Amino acid sequence: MAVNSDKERDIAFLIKKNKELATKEIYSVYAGYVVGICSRYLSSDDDIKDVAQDSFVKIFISVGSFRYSGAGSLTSWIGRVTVNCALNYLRDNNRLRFTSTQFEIPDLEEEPPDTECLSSDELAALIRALPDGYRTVFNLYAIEGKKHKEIAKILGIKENSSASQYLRAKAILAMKIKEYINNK
Amino acid sequence: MDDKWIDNIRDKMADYDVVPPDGLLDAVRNDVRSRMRRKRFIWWSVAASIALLVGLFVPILFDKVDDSIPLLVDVSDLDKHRKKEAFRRPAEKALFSATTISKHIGSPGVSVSAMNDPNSSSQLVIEDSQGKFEKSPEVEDNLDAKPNRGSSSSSDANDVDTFSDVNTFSKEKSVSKSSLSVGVSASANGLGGLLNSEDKDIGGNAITSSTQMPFTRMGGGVLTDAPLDDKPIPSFVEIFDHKIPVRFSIDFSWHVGHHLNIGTGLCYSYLRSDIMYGYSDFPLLKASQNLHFIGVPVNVRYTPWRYRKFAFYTSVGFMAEKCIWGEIKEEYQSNSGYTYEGSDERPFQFSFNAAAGIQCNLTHKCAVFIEPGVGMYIKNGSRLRSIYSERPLTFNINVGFRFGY
Repeated sequence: MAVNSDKERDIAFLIKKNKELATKEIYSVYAGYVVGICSRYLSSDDDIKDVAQDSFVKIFISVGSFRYSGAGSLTSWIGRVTVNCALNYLRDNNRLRFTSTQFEIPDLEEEPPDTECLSSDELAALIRALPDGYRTVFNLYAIEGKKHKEIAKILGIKENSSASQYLRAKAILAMKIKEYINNK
Repeated sequence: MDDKWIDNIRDKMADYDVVPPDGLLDAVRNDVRSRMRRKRFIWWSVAASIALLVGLFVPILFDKVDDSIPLLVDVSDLDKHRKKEAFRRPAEKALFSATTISKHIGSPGVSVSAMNDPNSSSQLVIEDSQGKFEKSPEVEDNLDAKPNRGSSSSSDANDVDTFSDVNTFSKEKSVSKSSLSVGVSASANGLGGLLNSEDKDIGGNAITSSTQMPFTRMGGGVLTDAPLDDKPIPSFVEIFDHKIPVRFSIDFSWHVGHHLNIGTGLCYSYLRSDIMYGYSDFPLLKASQNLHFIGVPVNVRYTPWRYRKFAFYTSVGFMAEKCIWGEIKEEYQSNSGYTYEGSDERPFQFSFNAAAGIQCNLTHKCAVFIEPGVGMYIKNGSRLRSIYSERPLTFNINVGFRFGY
């Protein structure tokens, strides 16, 4: 998320001076960002609201311990807290299942889909349509930029499982994008 | 497959903003307020529990046998109970040997009184319900007590041991004092009873049949300061002051149903009692008894009601304990204390327990609980006297943490 570095510095300064005001400012700047992360990991609107609420509660309670370390540090910290809340939510509700699904896995050698013509909302909706396990691995690898070793440790699976889950997620997403574009 | 489309997705999703749902900020604020309130309540509860445990436990650690009442005798050799030595208090002589007195302790039907004869030296008499039984020699003679089986003549000093004829005892009943326990058990005043037998003395007062300590010999007391005037002779007492038992345990429980848990574990219990033998005016002997038990409990816990982070439950169970070590320390005025280490008896102790408790989840893996309950200790036929035997039905309170895996 592109938050002005001056804005970040101002908020970090406000955290030390007036925590109440700082939390208000954090909400006004990052509310959309937090809900956006939640909507990538969760499919239901109720779940998205619950996780966003949990994330902000954690951010507000522990904001006093945040140490500003340069441009983007506040945004990264808020993003990490939100992703962790989403993963904990999925884990606590036994939604992180990494078994085979009812989807037919397409051939991975096909032509890549065209995503230039799709908006962020459309892409987000297509990612939400993936099964929970595939969606989670796809988000962590493709968007958060984590390695399969890290993902395996976070999710409690083997590194090979993470890699295969990602390949399947990629293939299914590509198929869905193409179907969506064809139907558009 | 070319992954440029993945990079494109990443760039678009990195700045992806969604309008937050209505009421999110208010919900967040309310949640923060209630969590902070709960956090403060939990920390105050934990601090109060720790303060309560420390406040009740520390006095036991630093509690010592009371030295303020000076003991009268300097016992130098208790092993040889047949040794005929006079124990001396300055300017006074022993009227009976320590072993003679000790033999009488607990013997029903024996009383000790002073003869108020202005023409004779101070004398003590040990008598039974049938009349004068034994008369101490005059002070100057410094002779040992001699048994007197119904006649006034003294027999050989070596026959001091046998007093099997007597059957009543005029001393006051033993007093067991106990107080609320910490950590686990609390005495239930009035329950369990103070008396161990139905024997009565001459005056019809209920008395206890005093039992000999299972791992010590009572040979430390000598009556040297018998009252010679008209004041009534103080009664002989043995006082057990049972301290608060302390129990530490580690428990493992398994979920077997929606509301049921079955558990077991290991626990360590420390029982301490301060003992005083002597007269109400002056003690003859002070001792401290320390018992160490290891036990295995088995419990069933039923949780009928959960509300947010709280769970209310009841539990019933059974525990088998074994005394793994016992010792008694006797202290005398000479400061050369005796310690008899090791107990003759290391009994098993079985008990039934029931409790009701409240558990509060601090995190999703850690909870704190407080659990008042009752324990019923089954008679084990042991000669060891402890709070288990004196107060078989006790209240207790457990506090602790539970970790979920």
